[in-house]
Amino acid sequence: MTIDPTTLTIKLAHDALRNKEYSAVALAEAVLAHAEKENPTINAYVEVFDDVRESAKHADTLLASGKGSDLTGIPLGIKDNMLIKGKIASSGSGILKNYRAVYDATVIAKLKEAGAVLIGRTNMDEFAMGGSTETGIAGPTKNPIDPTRVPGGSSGGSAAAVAMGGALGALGSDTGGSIRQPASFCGIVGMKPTYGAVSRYGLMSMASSLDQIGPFAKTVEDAEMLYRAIAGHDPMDSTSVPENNPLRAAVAKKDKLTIGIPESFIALDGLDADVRENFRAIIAALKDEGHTIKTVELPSLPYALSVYYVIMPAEVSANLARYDGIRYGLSVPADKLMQVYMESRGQGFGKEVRRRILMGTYVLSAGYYDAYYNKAIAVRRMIVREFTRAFAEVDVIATPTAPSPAWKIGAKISDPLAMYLEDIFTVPANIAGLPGISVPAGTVVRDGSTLPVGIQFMAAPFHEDMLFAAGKSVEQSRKGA
Amino acid sequence: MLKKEDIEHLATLARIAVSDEEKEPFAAQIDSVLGYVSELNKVVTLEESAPEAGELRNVMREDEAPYVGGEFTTAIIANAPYKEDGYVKVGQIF
Repeated sequence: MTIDPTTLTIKLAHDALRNKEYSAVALAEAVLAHAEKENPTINAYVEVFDDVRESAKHADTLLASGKGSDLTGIPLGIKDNMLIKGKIASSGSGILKNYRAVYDATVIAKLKEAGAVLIGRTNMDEFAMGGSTETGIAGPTKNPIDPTRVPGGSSGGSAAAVAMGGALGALGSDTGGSIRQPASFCGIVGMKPTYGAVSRYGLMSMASSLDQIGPFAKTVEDAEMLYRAIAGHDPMDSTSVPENNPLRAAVAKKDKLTIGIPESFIALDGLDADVRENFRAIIAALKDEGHTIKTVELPSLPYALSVYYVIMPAEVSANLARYDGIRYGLSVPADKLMQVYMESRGQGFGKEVRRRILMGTYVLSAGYYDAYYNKAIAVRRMIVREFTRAFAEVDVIATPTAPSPAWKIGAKISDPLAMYLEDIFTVPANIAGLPGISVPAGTVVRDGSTLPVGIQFMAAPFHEDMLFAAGKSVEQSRKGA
Repeated sequence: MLKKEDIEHLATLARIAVSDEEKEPFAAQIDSVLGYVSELNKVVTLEESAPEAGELRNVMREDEAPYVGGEFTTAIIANAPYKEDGYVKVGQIF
């Protein structure tokens, strides 16, 4: 039986493993061979692990003893900002180039427990700051659909690993769209769970009120399997929502959804005309599937990007203070301790990271704190309230995932504001703590290259089931397309 | 407008050495982002609202030892740039 990792889904692989059509070792070998062939061009992995065969053997033992679960033997890629005990975790930064994880992140412990096979560490923008996977020390990752273009970011390595067939699924982290946007650019599914749904213990903190870990996969069903394997309360993460919290109250599943469209937000300049057309076509198809389409008013939504670019750098400047050249990471020797800090951080952090730390320091400094940070917090609350009102009327809210398809490598790297504007549709879910999913929704053409674009759905907190239902409906409507 | 001296001040606060040739581009780039986000000043915001149901506050754990003493010591010290006899070695502070 030949295994083609470029088309194989987690669900089909799981069924094949359970029915003994092939072993986990054979599956891992096929994925490894494919990763080794593609990676020199795509640069999705910064490291392919040397213990993949052993983990696959362990998975085969679990399967043989009947102790297998959904992910037993499934080859996965892991973003380089999650700790895997004994492995390097660099977050794409020179300051952590040789840092070796002391413990397993909770999501990693869950995947190991499930018998998943971890293929390697995937490339990313340094400390997850960026939308193109160009700023990490391992150099840019290329988009498997068109290697002259970026895969999106910051979890571009995870998206590319799945799209090129170097893993059947992957984990990424999403602070302002870092899972959903690369999923859109690489033509796969990417999901950011509700804030507090998945433990972040062992994920390197970027902006703690926004960060979430989530899955990449080829199908919505696969993403759902991955999500269920990593979700749940964890006492090691104080922002992880306990199982008995009223937020987690069960929602009734339904086949036909009410889909809200924030019309005035979609009408904003900066959204490519063909991406907007494509979005309209998918919404029309969803209407044909029997869903109800309704306009929703979210007047403060256009401010979400500004809120994000105040709160995020503020939290970044605080979280990254821990990299001081003393306890771990790069340390540049100097006579005075102050110089050790200044030089270790100055040389260890790349441009974008330093820029964001300086910006965060500015918005938090005396005299500007009220004008920027406190104002952003107040607008954030307004956005949350508007979403709460909207979700009283609709099950999900739909937007394009990104205003454009994948751009050329290098095109936006020297203009931070241009890069930031690409996050306009993804940041609202992080600002309000909502779950969001990007599902492939068609293609547009740029310079003769046919490029995928995604549709994004957001739902009320812990209404992930609504996202999966909406996503599967998109897949259904595009069958044969 | 941010000036070179503002970047120097922020760099000192943030403990990040910034080279001379980077100061002006940084000032211009940060200025353009601050210009964009200053649209927030136009928004009329309401008074602070009460905490919402389900919000997590004051999450504590039991006051007991969560780890076996020494469990992670070797691995943690192995990551330290300078070490001696199982301790992280640091320079003189004053």
